[in-house]
Amino acid sequence: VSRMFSILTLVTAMLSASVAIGGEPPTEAELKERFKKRLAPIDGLKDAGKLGETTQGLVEVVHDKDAGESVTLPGDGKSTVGQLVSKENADRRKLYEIIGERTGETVTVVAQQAAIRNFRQASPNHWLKMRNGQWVQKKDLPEPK
Amino acid sequence: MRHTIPDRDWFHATLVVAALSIPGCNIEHEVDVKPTQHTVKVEPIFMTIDINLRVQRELDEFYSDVVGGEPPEKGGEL
Repeated sequence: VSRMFSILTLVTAMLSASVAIGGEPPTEAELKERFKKRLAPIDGLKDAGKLGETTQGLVEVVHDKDAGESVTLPGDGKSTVGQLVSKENADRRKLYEIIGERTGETVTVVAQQAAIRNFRQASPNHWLKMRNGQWVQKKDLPEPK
Repeated sequence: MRHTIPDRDWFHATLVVAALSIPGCNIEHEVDVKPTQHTVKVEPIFMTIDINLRVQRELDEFYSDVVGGEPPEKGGEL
């Protein structure tokens, strides 16, 4: 009986560990809260020309030297620009997965659609990363036909 | 007094001149011209992607709670 109990305990522990390692995927509500928290700092960094949007629907550091810069997040304390970008992109990918499952589209398609939206909403001084890897300010792009 | 050059001397003189001029005519200039190839790689900066209204609506609905959504536009470029 004690051996059975030991095995059962071990299996339970392993299952708990696997859940803890993998983690539960965030709900939409949780994602919204996280995006809200990061919105102001990210917008500020975009206005400062340090972050920009990519054609993959992700945010990126325009100049690598800025990745180590410290940034204050509401509630989360201090972080670096690079860490902020990583967290934002991880959550964006989760969001694209959720929308992809709901619409029957691939994550790539959803990400491209998000990129269109991000490019459209970008301010004239915001930096946008083209498909060839070149960073361009929105004001320097020709008007879409 | 008239001095005449013998035919034989004319012949020799012509022969010497001809012999001297042959190397001059035989000068060759070899200019090695290699074909120059300029490869210009032009990658498209823009890619036109059709708006997927259903996905745009989902994104708008999601972000409306975060920043405030906008109605999707027709067509888009990346």
